[in-house]
Amino acid sequence: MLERLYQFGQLAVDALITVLMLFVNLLPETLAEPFQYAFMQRALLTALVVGGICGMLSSFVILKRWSLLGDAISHAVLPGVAIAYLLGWPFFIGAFVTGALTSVGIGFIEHNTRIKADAAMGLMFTAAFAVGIVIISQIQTSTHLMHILFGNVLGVGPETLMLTLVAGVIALLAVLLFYKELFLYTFDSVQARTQGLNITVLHYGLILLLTMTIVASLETVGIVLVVAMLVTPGATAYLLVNSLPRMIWLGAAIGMLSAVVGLYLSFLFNVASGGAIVLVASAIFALALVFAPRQGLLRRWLSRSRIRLAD
Amino acid sequence: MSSVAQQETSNRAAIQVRDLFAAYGETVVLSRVNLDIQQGQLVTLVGPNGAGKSTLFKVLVGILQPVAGEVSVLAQSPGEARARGLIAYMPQEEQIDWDFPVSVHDVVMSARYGRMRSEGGWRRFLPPRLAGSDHRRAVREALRAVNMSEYADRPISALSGGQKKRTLLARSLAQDAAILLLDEPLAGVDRASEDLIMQVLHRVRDEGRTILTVTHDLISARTHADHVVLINHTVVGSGTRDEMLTDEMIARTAAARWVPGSARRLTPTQG
Repeated sequence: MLERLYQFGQLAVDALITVLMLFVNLLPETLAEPFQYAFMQRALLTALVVGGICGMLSSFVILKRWSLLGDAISHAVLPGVAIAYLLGWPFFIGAFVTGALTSVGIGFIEHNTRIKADAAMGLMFTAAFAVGIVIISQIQTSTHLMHILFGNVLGVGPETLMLTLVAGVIALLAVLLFYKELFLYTFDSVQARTQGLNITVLHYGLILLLTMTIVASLETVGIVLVVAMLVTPGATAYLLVNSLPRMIWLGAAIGMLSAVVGLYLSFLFNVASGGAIVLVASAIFALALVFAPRQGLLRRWLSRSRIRLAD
Repeated sequence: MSSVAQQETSNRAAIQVRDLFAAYGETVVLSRVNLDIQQGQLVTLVGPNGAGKSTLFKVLVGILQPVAGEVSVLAQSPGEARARGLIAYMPQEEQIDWDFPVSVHDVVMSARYGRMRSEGGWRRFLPPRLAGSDHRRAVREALRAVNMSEYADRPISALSGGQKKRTLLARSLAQDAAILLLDEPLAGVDRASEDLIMQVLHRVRDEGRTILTVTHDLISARTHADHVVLINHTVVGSGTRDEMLTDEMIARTAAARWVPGSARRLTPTQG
């Protein structure tokens, strides 16, 4: 059964890469050349999926003001990764468990004490991260663990790619099929409640989706920087459009663009892929900040000087 | 409407509250509240700040679990009533993020999401853009009722105070709920918007729906309510506005800080 699934996954990956290469081969030869290597093809597909789901969910992270929660979950996966490494388990199982446990712990402190959400997050995720650091310091230096801390999309294997694809499909289906629920919960959770929705299920559902996305992104951008991909694309889209569906798709597009351009630059200059991807995303944000048609600094400055002139 | 006709149309209870206690942690805000609200009435809850008016709404809306007591809405539990979309709630403006990237039309359409979710089969999962014609009609009519049709496509971040209020009212109308809970529907709006909102509320009441509003403003209660409930941690009085809004009753409401029979300390709190 598992064997079958694996073969099916392999087939799906091969098919997707073939389609992707059709587009890549349309590019000028110097640009397309690195993608002749199998590891670059895997990296390209992984980067696209990771950039896409992070960008898609970043709209919800921005609008729910969950940036710190994203940072908290991403740090909280470290002990899980380390424990899974010690036990010889796949890293994503451990990562998912400690990430989810930490977000439940944050909710518990927030609802049962007078401590507010930001402090609850700050203390829970640093505690979890510290556990991870302590365990890692006992392990002989492992390149794999370093990759999870800082990301190395060029080293992504077929299994990780398959896993990332599954996470991508789940996240996409969740946003497409439950858009109405997610909108109500994000815009006005009291209104969601009056329409008979279960807020608790929605809350933890969205957190699980976020945790899954973070785990799927670990090898691409790394624990330390993954929160950037959950904030920057959505923040950029927020400056540019005025409807949630457009913000979601534009965020996804910006995430994918940053991931692909970052991947290419990381190969070209032989720098860490996570850093390169996040820098590209930040550069796109900076452009939007200056040139956005309504929210941009340039536009604000122009209209201010026009008003002054009219005086 | 004559009193006989009124009795005929309103012989079923819209909201019944029995011996309700509600608290935030150790602080009791509502103490032994009993309330009967008939269908087809425009009822205003009047009381000072911190009297527990909004707390009562929170219990009805389901975001606060009562400590004790029973609440029934159209002879059902509040949870069942919510699941059937029978209760619409209009919050005060501060509770809404007006920078949210959404148009007036889509905010009003979101009142239909509960009904869209209960449609059969795959229709349940359709995006709102593909909503059925009945939903579109409800949104159009709600926008027209509050005179906001021409602003349908405007982002909510570009609305004035009165327009925001009317958008939230349109959302409550579009839900087609039997009971509308409106938190300070007239606060901070200009005279023209106030008249429009009251016109809409009277029409909705004449359709047989029940409206429950909250205010600490005696002037608007005096001019607009059919039925007034005086509240200050417990129900001080309930009756027509002429019976309730006398100097004596208002003084009694203001004095009703401590209620004999409740064992707990009653402190004025935010609510």
